[in-house]
Amino acid sequence: MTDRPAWTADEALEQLYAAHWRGLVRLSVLLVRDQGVAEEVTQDAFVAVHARWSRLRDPDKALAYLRQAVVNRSRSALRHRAVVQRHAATLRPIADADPTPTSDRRAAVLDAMRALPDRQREVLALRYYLDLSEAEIADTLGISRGAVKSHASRGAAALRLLLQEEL
Amino acid sequence: MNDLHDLLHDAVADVEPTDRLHELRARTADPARAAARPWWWAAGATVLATAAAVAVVAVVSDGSDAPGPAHHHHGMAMDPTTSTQLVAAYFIGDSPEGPRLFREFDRVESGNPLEVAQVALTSAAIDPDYRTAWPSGSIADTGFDGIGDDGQISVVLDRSSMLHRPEGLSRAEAELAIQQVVYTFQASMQTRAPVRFFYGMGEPADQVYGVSTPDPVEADPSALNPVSVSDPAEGNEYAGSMIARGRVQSTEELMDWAVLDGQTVVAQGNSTIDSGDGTFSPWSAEVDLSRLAPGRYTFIAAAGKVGRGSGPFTDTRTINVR
Repeated sequence: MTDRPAWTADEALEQLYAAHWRGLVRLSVLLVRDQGVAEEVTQDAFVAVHARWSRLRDPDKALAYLRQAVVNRSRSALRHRAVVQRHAATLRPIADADPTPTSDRRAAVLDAMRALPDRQREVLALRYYLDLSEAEIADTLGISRGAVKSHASRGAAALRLLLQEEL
Repeated sequence: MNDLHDLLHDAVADVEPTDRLHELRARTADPARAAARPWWWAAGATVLATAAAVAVVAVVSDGSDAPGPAHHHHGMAMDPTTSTQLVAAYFIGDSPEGPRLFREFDRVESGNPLEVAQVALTSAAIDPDYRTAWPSGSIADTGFDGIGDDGQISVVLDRSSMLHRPEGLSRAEAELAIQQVVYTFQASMQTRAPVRFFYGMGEPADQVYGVSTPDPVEADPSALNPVSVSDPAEGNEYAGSMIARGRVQSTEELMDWAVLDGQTVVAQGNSTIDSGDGTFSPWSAEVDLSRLAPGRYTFIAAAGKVGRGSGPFTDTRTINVR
């Protein structure tokens, strides 16, 4: 990047989109399960990174910001959906429309991830899907490295237990 | 450990997202428009559809005696463990200069920080001196779209009637109610990001409880009671001695504390205040309880001469001595 002038926000958006759109949507699918919601969440994260480009100005920082935004927004989306469904449950049975059914095994993995507590799910996705280091995960989630360790080991144990037949 | 790596990669290997670059270009071309609503405004169609049904019912049931939609009181259903955490929630209490906000640390079931704060805020305070302007179910949803001090906290009111000041809530309390939300959610997210209120399907609430809120609301330090007790928590039990702690905003060098049996002072002392420059600073005191008979007492922290001199401002806790 040293041989070219710094990107404008629009250029940064295009470059980041080309490199990370698919990976970040997939990360969000691991967190929220639903692909439509994952795309909305990830799109919002890209809009946010575009708005803050003048302060980030660096592709690595921008990527870290995008990851953090995707994780935070995925968590909020889950919570929002839980609230809406709890409301809706009192009105009528929820149509069990789950728009991302894949193979049985894939569905089982996504279901198992959804069954984990938020933090465990997030740590596992960042560690085993994005292959982030403990320190990077700690930064992304705003928790200590010790907490990352403990969520990772509990999460991995819980996931293995839930997926005994798949592993 | 490679098994989990392979498993997670495989689980999303066939996810091929829709190309949204055009949509992104359109949204980023006009950032003001993109930020005008809570972030989930454009969320997936299924979510919106159920939200629409909820909004209709909420309006229909508004003002009647019929029970509205069920509101979660203790969320966190996803967490199979029952670990708990402390959450700082702000409540309304009385001071010599009218109502002020007081901070209370409540122990609640662990979970998403915003949800945990929402539960604490819409539940009764443990300290009977405090009250909340936010009854159970009054906040339908919350979100935070930023990181650090960037961004905005979104708070969705459950009913459009909450735009207006209810009977029984004074103008001063209504303003504190807004700050109750700002301080509690800012504390939960450890941010100074302002709070934007919404109602219904994500319509911006330009007033809340009759208080004008056309812009995102920032924290207003004048809403806070100048002295607060963090420890002891209300109803704590002690034997021998206790450490009391809190924050105080004072131009004095010392803050007085006392232990009361009814109206009688049975122990007293004072703590050095670090700054004394009128900003909030921590105080602490080791309180000897060894000569007190077992029973209920009141611990009181008092800060005099804070502002206009009508003090002292106080904060109290009931304690039990074994």
